[in-house]
Amino acid sequence: MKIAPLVLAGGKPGLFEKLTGNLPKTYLKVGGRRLYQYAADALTATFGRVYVASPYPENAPYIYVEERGEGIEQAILTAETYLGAETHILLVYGDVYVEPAAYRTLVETAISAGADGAVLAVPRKATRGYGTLETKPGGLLARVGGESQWIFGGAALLPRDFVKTLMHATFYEALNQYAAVKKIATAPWGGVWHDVNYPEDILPLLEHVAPRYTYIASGAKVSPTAVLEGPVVVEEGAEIDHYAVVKGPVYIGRRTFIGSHTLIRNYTYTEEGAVVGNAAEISHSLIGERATIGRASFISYSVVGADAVVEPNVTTMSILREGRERLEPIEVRGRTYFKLGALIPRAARVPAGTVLKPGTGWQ
Amino acid sequence: MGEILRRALERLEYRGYDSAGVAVVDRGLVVRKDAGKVAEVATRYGFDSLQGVAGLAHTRWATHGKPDQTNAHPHTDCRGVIAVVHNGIIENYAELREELAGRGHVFRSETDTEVVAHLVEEYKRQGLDTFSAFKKALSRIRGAYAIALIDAENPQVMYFARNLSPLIIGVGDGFNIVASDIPTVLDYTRRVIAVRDGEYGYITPTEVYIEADGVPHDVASRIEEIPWSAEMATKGGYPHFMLKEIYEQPESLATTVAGLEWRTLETVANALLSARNVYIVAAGSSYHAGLVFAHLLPRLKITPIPIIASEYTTYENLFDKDDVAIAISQSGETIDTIKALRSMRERGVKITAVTNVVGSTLSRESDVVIYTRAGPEIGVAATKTFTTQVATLAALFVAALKALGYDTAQYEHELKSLPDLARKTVENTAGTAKDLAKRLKTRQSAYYLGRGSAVPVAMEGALKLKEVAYIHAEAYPAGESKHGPIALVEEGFPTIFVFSDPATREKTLSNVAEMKARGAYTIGTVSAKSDIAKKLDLPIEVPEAGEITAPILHVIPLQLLAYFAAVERGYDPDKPRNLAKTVTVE
Repeated sequence: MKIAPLVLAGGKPGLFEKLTGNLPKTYLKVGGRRLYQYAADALTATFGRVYVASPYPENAPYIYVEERGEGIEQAILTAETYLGAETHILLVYGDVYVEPAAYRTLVETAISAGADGAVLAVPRKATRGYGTLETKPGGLLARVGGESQWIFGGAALLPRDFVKTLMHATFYEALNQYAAVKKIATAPWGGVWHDVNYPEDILPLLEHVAPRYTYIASGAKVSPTAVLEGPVVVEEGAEIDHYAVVKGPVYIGRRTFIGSHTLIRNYTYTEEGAVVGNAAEISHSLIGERATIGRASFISYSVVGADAVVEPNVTTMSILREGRERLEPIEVRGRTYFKLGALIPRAARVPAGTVLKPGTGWQ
Repeated sequence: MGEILRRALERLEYRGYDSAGVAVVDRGLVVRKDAGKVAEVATRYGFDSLQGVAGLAHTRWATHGKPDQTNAHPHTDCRGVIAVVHNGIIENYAELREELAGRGHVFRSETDTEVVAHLVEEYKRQGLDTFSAFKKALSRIRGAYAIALIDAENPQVMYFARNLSPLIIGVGDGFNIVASDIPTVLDYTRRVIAVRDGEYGYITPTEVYIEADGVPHDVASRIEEIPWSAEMATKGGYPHFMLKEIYEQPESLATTVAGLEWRTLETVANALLSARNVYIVAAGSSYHAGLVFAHLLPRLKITPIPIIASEYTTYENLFDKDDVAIAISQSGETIDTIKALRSMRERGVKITAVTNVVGSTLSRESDVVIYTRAGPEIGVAATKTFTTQVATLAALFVAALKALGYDTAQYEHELKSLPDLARKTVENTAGTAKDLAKRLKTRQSAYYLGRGSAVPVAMEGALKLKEVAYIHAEAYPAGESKHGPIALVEEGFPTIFVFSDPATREKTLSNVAEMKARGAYTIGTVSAKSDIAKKLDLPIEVPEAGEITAPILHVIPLQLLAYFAAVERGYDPDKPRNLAKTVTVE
């Protein structure tokens, strides 16, 4: 078995159009990296190389496979034609964040079970929209479908001849056909696994991928009166002005400007070229590339798209934590949130003094 | 060679750890083995200084024969020329052994493995070369196995075979390795071939040969490159042993049910029925398994006396020669249980041990032993060993009913369907348990309530949460919760009800209402077909099961909950602080 790791980075943006325009949702930048790069980089670290299937190849250190047609089936079929002598494909969804140990789990489970392949099984109660995995003796995959609360976790190790099945079947149908004749092991995964399905899924992601160490690039400028409480990453060309307080984990992207007297609280990400004006306060939020946060604004549990302009004195209201105050939680797509600010689309302009109610813009 | 074998054994210790041994070919066969952990045996017998061109090593988890020097692997033939190690069970070993003994072969151990060495010896004596003799031997054995064999008269070759037990080959430069799992070979090579069921063959320092049904298989195309080191490798593919052990409960229950020795159960059942007093003595999870059993005994007109092992002195004056005790311990080495047992023995109490470890102190010092067949459990928190204990004791209850002349067909069917229902339970409750774990992770405290035989299930659930997630959890009989504990309940207080006992459902429901009225967040394990679900804030639906197996199914989501809560809180569930797998201090 020679393994070809393959990240599926394509797909329609759907609700992410507000943030990524025509680009797939996996192209959203979080912490200086596109979403799919978290999987691609982890796979490169393990396997030395990675194939990335996408309609929009970039100049990054991966082997890009230009995706034609629609759906993951076409993406896999196309990618397969690019492979060399590899016998297996380690398939990973670009919009799923999982600890890298999960990839090793897949390979080891397949080999230990003497199986032809393996699928990552993740516990989940709300299974709608996912492929549920039913097992048979020995932890082998019986079928996709049914009442199981273990879902397909967006990562699978499959023999190359599996790909042929995809010509006339969907991915799950193909898995069913394959599991009927070959041995596919299920690899249960109880660790961190996060699917970025909708824009609101970005907020928990900020916690999963947060910096765990402090790094200040040599070309960054941090004023002597600024206070940095780690872990904080400050990238090349960034500037943190006087009396700013940065309480990690925080990511300050390349060439961003953090104004004086700002309070940058935990799980804040300012992407490349963002500007945060004097005395603004930000927590648990993603500030997109080149976006501007005007002076004295308060941004919390929010996502601000690239090139957006939030004028001075804008407040995003989020809601108090459950138990402290009896407030009604916010419901988005059937899920309840006790803390949710606003989604401000790319290139949008929020007028000065606006107060955005909790949960604005996510629907 | 000796050092390579020792290091490989240390990596394999999670597969069993009651005895260890090595064999090397160096101008003849040298075998060193004994009972004990790898490090102990290796130091005692100087494994590291052994030289040779080929070597075998094994760490054992006893299934046939107690762990001692003779039963430790490798096993040899009569002349001490052939050595074999084996993982799995050879089902027809008894008849083969008889046949070979009839032809003059002398057996030293009680193991199923030894027949392989003698079979090969026998066929070699009939004129076959070693490989042909090995193949012919394989055609005679039935069961699950991964086998490796060396022959000092053919020193550069190692023979192997796989059927249902894992086996891989590490392909090196000028050497080759056969092993049970991947991490074992990663220190020496990253190139690995997974041997499939029904395949066999041999390795030499420069060649790997595999065939199945007499047809050679291509080897080169099957070499897999493992890009990570042994240190990075996972535990047989699982992030934690605890998850592995929860996930494989359908398999361990299937093995336990299939391996029930009904004749022994019958003997014990008769003793229970005619005893003056029946004691159930155990500690921790084993005690909870004993309590589940204790709840069944009044149905046989038996008044059980459950004793927490460390508290046995309170009952010492009762112990007498007409009494019977069931002593339960996974490891068979729990000091509290052994102390209690010795006190009982001195006073003439007949002891039946329920243990997972063949040849353990508990099994040696008891009159009758019933083994659970959960396999080695590495996670400190008991999971599969608890459920197999409950299943084994349920079978004992069935044996007693049978002895009283009742029709037990329905119960026996219940036991048979248990593995499949357990699989369904692991599948259908994991997501809910994960969601609940996220909710519980910031909590300080929780209640686990039930009535009847659900009380010990609640106790076991609470113990798991305490052990691995470090959240204070208290189990109570639901009706008793009004007498004090309810004072703590405030808005959002998590209260987990166990609805495994159908006889007490209605009454437990009134406790749900009481808790709810005080703002508790009510959770419950409920049978999938019942309408109780609607009355709870969060129902966890478990497949419908009969009364003797329901406790097993209902504990599974509670195990999953504790595991996920530990992971959510950032703790390692396999190594909880302050706890040891086997408690050997008073």
